[in-house]
Amino acid sequence: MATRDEGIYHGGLSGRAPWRRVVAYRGALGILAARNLKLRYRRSVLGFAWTLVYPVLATAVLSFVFAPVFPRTEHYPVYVVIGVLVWHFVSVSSAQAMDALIAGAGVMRKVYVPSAVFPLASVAANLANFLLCVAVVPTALALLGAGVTLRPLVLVAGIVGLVAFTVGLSLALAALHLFFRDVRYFFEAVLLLWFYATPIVYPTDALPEHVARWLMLNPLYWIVTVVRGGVCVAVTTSPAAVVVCVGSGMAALVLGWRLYARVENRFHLYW
Amino acid sequence: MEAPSVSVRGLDVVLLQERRAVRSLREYVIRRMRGERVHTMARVQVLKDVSMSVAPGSIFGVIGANGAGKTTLLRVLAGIIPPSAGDVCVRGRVAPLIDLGAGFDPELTGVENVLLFGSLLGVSAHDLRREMDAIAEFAGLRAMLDVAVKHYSTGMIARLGFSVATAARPSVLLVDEVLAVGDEEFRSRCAARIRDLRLGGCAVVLVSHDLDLVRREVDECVLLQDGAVAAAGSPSEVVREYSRGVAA
Repeated sequence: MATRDEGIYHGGLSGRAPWRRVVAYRGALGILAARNLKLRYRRSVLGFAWTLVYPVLATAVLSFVFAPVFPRTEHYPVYVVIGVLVWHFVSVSSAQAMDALIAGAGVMRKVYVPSAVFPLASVAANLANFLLCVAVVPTALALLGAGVTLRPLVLVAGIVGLVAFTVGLSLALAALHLFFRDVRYFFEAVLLLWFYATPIVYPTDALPEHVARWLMLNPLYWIVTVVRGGVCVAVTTSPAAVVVCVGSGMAALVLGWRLYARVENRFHLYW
Repeated sequence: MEAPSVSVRGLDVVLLQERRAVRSLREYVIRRMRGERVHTMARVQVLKDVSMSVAPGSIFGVIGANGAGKTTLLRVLAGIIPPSAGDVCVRGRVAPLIDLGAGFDPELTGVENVLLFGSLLGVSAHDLRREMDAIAEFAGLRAMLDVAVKHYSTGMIARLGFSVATAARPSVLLVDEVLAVGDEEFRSRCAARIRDLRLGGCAVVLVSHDLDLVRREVDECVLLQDGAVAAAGSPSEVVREYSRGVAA
């Protein structure tokens, strides 16, 4: 059987940059991501369609409750559904990444595998869900005549920023969580505040000027705005917003990865 | 002489053991404020100055009491734990069989687990699918391959793990007592497969409490005692040394 990784090496760990090791194990990453998706819906009648239940319900409820509160926002349902999907992706991926690294210890005790494969597989599985929802839900809303458009470049830029940001955040949290198990609870509290500090359910122009200014410090504000700009007729995106969105995503990715790679060699002491 | 498949020189491994460990930020802050010690992880030297060398095509035995550091040694060779000091050089691809059902997920089926474990060993999905029949055949699990692994017996899991690991044609095979759970028929098939691999130059490191097996099959052997090499050399002498220590 032909195999890669032939040749002299020192116990699999040294000699290669950490990110190269992850690339070498991309096959395992794919299988783990597929496993996450499969096991979530195995033996369920609706199967993968369950992915769509949450955003559809959330959109219905939030539109019913908040559309009258924000009468000036055109096409509120599509506005809120993008917000909910982006938020769901960030919060669920990062929480699952923390669990995945702990759960992966069982495998990591038995076979060498670059540990980052486990949190990354969680993000990848959630990304598949996210992309399915972004493809299906706005299309359905478009058929209902709900102010949906497609600006492909803006949408792709928004998703690139979103994924980079989420990967960086997930890696950093997963690494810290291995050393301090209550990072999860701190993060839950942070998420609660972060949810309200991000325009998910409310439009930015509903805020007073002196409050709205502070939103600009929140990377998710830019990311969710750009993703919306790719789908919502009523939301326009400036080139500057696209730059900040992709830039802050990349910054989070680089910082998260560097933190992860720095502490990874001490993981085996804390499993 | 051919370069050794595995060579270890002066290997030390220091691990941390939790003793009233700080596992939360809250506790960390409180202890710091009270001026208490924060580092409650005890450093434990699991391996001390271990050296060994395994020639291609040979079987190397590791024996010793529970907690002597045998499994840790295998983990270092597999690249799971980095050495704290010393040199470790492993040539070629390693297939570790440390513990039952190496990288198996109990919820997944046999086929899915073959793909998962195989990919962790560095074998491509394409090759695994091609070899799937041979792997199932060798493990004697043809009929069970679409069943979730949680329904397998202990022996079945060990058989599937061994079958995948050896089908990957590794250069170094690490075996940690897993074969002990197989039945007589499977054990003789394992022995045949290992002989086959050895002819191809595969080196085997075998951790075992089965002293008869060690005397019979192993070419060279070490006895680990509290993490250090207490005896090394021909299996019969090392086993005698070990038995004397146990009897005393």
